[in-house]
Amino acid sequence: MARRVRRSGLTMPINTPRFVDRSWTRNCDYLNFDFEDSVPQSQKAYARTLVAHAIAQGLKGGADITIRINCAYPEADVPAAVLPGVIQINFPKAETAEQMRNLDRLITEAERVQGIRPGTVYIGANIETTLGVTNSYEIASASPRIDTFSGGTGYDMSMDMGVEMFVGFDQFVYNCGEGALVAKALGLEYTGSVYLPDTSGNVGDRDLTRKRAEANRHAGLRAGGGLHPNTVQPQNIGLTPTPEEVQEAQRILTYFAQLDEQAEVEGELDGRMVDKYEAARAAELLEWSALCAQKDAHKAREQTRTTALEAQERAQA
Amino acid sequence: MGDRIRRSWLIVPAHDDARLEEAARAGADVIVLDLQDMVHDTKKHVARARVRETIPRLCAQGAEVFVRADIELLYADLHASVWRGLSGVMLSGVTSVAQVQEADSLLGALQAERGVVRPPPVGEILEADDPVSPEQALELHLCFDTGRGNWDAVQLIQASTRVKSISLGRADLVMDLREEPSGDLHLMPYLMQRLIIIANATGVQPIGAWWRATSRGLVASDDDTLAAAITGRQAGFKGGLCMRTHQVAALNKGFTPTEEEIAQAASVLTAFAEARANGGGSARTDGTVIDASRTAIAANLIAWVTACTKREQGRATVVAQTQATAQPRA
Repeated sequence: MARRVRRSGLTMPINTPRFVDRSWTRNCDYLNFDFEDSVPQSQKAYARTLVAHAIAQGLKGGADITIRINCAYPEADVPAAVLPGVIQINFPKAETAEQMRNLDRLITEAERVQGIRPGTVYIGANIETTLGVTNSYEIASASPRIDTFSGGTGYDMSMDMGVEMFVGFDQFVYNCGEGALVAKALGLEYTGSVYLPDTSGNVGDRDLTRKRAEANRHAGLRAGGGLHPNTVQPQNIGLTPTPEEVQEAQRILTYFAQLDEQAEVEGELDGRMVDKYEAARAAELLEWSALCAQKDAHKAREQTRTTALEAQERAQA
Repeated sequence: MGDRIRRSWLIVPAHDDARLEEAARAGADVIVLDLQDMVHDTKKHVARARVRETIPRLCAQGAEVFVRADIELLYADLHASVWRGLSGVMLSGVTSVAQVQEADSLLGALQAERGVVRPPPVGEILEADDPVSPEQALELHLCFDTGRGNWDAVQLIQASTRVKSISLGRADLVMDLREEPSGDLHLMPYLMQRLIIIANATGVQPIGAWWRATSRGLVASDDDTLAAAITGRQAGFKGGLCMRTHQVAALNKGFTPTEEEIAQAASVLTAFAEARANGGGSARTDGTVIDASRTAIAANLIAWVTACTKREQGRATVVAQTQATAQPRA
């Protein structure tokens, strides 16, 4: 499976047209249309009829489309959610491997019915409860559709643990450690975040988002997401390597290639030790930088095309 | 007989004469001859060929000697390494029970074939000479530097009775763990605490130091190494790995309790003994309670210090013997 770029993404209720119809203008790497917590019970059935429209809106901006379903009734949600253009189904409050196997079966059937190539649709297993944390390994290894994993944080997790979320210290060390280790044990991409103190809980704080994104980039983490449009650009920028970093990575690779030719395994470049691990890190950064550039070009192309089309439509009207 | 004192594990490429020479006199409790990461593929055979002659030279300076083998090249690496004086083998990148079992059986076969036994604690005399005695079995040290290895740590440890110590090896590099805003390496506090718990639960020695991102772990400065060793000892590690000779003193120091700690522990023992003599179950001094478990902690510390002192005496004895043999009386 190819490595995906998802520096920024917005989760929004699929039944709120003013969010969905403007979603393509946000410049997100992905959009997560929600069937779950942001949709009231009375609207759940209606929400299931809105997927094709939401996909069309989201794709106008070049974003990847994901759908968050309800954990309680995947049988109803999955057939409605798996349509051409959807790349991932997010399963909230994942707690058991059986839930993942069931979800995998439902997606397989939906792919068959829709004529989507088998294995196209990923599963996002969201750990948001203590039971989910204790079953992390079984959950993450239950389906080959799971290619990324991280530990449990967030509102639901806090609620289940009986703690406040924004207290200024990291209450989730164990959850996140477990999630990261499971991801690494299974060879999945870890999509967690480093910890930064946050006592405000403001979901639209540009500065904090940017700071966190940069800290994540330095720690080698690559994924973001949020609830407020203010988070999108700070994450797009903060998670993309700077030109200086790219240049430095190229120097390290060149230097390491020279070392290797001399049958040496390590050396010093400007007072910094370089070995095969540093070289691998530099190579990863270059790969990541290229993927970001590709994604940015794709989004720009789609957004330009959509803007032109809409201008044309207005002119004809 | 308890754990051996191994505060500093200095890893040196097996083919690098200059670094070996320097390492021999560094005062490391353990010197690890590396056949893995620090040796270029084109130099592996040269490095292997050096191991047999190098082991006694390092033992003669009062060090215990391990070899770090490449898990993919295990057969050749172990055949090159199992010679008189070797204490054990360090395996990094271990991910499966089968790998540990393979190492175990290779060591067993080579020990029997060559009559090699694990040497006694440095400075002591070997009384028996039995390659199949558990006391004299060559050891394995497992480095859990991958996600898989860490996740399956318990099974891997239990795969062989030779496993006596474990570490995270170079997990920060292998797993590409980088700096957090807090200054810790991402995931490392969790991994270190997990390793210490697993080591104690399975009865092996946890080796490591509380490396932070500002120091590049195994090649850190003296001050950073000392800080990592002190915090590491407080967290439960018994000794740390390093790659530079100058770090050895910092590790030995950091993993040996300070005079102040020793005095404190001694006063705890005294106070508790007095309380007991007077019919009490616990004592109070300066607002603290001294009960049986606190006393046991103090007794452990004193036992550890005593063992550290004995380790240094062992080294001195061996070095003196070596010098005496090198300069025979006219």
